[in-house]
Amino acid sequence: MINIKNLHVKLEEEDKAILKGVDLTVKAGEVAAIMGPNGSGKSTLSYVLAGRDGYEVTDGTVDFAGEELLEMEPDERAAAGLFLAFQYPVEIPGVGNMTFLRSAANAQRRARGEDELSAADFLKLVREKAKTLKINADMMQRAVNVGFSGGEKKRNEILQMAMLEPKLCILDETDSGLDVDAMKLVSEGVNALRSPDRGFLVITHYQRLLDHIKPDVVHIMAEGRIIKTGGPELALEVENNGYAAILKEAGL
Amino acid sequence: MNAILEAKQSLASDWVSSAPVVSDWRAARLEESRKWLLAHGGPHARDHYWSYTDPKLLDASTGSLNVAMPSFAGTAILPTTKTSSDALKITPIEEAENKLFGRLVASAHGRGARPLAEKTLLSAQGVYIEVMGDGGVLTIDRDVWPDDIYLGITVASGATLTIIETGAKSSTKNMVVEAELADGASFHHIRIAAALEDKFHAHLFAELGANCDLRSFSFSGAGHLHRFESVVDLLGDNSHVSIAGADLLMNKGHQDDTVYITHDALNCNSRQVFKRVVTEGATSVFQGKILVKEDAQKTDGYQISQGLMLEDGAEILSKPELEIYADDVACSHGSTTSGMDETALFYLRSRGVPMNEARQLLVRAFIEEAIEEIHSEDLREQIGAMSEEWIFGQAL
Repeated sequence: MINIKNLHVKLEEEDKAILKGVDLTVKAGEVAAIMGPNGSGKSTLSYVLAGRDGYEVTDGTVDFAGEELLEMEPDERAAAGLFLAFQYPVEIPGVGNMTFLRSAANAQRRARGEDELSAADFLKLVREKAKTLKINADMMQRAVNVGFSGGEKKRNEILQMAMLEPKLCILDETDSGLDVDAMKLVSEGVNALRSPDRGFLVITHYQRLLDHIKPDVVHIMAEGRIIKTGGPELALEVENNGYAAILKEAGL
Repeated sequence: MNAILEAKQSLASDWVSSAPVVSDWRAARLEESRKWLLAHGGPHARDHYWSYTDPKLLDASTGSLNVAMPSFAGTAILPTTKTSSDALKITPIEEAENKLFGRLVASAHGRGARPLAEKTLLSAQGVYIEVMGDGGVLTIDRDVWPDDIYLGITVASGATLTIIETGAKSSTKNMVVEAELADGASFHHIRIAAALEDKFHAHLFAELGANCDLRSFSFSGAGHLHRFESVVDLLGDNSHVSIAGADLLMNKGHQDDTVYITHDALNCNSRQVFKRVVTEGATSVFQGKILVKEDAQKTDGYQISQGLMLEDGAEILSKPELEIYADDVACSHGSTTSGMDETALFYLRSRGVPMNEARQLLVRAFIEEAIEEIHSEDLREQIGAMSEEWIFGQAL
């Protein structure tokens, strides 16, 4: 699905290396979790994969479904099947949530040479998916994320993910700012999307989210690299003992 | 005599000498305009309200049609329109003396000279519109009107009128609207100026009684030069006025929105809402003033002017002015200028929306607050759709 090799990234504006040789693979059907101390480069990795400005790739490659991801524009990456659920979903005053979703869905279809969804088909699809995420009609009529609570914003991210049906879903601290009920709702939304041909990269600080979204593999990131990879038990170890032992083991 | 005044007077003297012959009563009134112009002269870059809009831009230009005008429901009128019913009476200005003609122009000079309004009076053709009941919607297609346009509007107590003026051809137009609103009257005004290289100088002078509702909205897809001046006097209590504009400026266009609202009564509410998008070396000027007189307690004055700069080299100039003499008032003003919101742009693109479409969506979103000032839902939708057509036809 995605194969990241020796990825080095620095900030464009200053001479500061953030990612220092990330090697990471997510297979189709796999849920991979990334955990790591603050400042380890987890969010940077998600932004670089999605194509955000402000970062310079100094070395490495990212193969995404057979194509070089790093040479694609952000919208091309989305059309190719990459989706980033933002840690802080962006408010866009003046753009209706429904308009936003329809523009996105149809732009991706056009890019893939598919027919656009008819207004009726689109509406039917949105209503069905919104219902399972408990997103009401009012939220769909409002401007994108404007006046949404933290939980509503995250649910809105999952709704977009469900509508766009990406191949790889990157969840950047989707659990931050969520109460227990909201986390459960969001996790159910994510779990409903799990399928043999879809991969997930779940970035989180806490084991709690992984109780709901059970990972197949857990990677520990520190100092801009993946320093340890293991099964779900690795997340429990971090939860109980912190990172100290793992960092020491890696010589950090 | 100083050199600036001499230059101003020389310009005005040309205007006065080239004015057409008009009816006797009007000639008598125009003596005042001539005297005023010869004494004060035309506009000069040193004048208070002309420092950001060089009067030299008034020189001729050419250009072409740029956007399809929506077809608005309403009754089209011309300078020759003559009609009379219980609710509405329209009379060509040459036919009958009317004390309104030039009265609000003359009284406005005290709050900034309006030489181009006086000049327009000299040669304008137009009508008086007297509204006694539901005046409905009148439409004015400036493309088939003469270059100098006058509308004298009297809205009686409890009466309502909507005027929509449009123009899509490149041309040189001057326009003066004088509107008197009696207690409880409402007048909604929509102006669309969508030609790419036209030159359009329009004035709205309005005097409001109590419990009135005045809304003026302009859409400008300009333009060689657009200057829209609005001078509104709130003379009765509990009235509402909104002067709003959505400007999409490109191709070195120049738009100037100059607004002067005077609160001279209790508990009135005024709004100035301008959203300005500039690119391709265009310039947008906003000069907005709220004057709150000593007795105008409980005034609520709101003023916002926001500029979105799509590329370097365009200019956004703002001059908000508040002059307040009453002590129990709420007045706010905001003026911002920014580039495209990169975070929002990335968010849209990360969902698959290509760059140009993402920028178009954000531009459309940006002007929404001004479009929301339009009272009628139907008109709001029509203008919204028209602006979308305009925006989505541009490479932004």
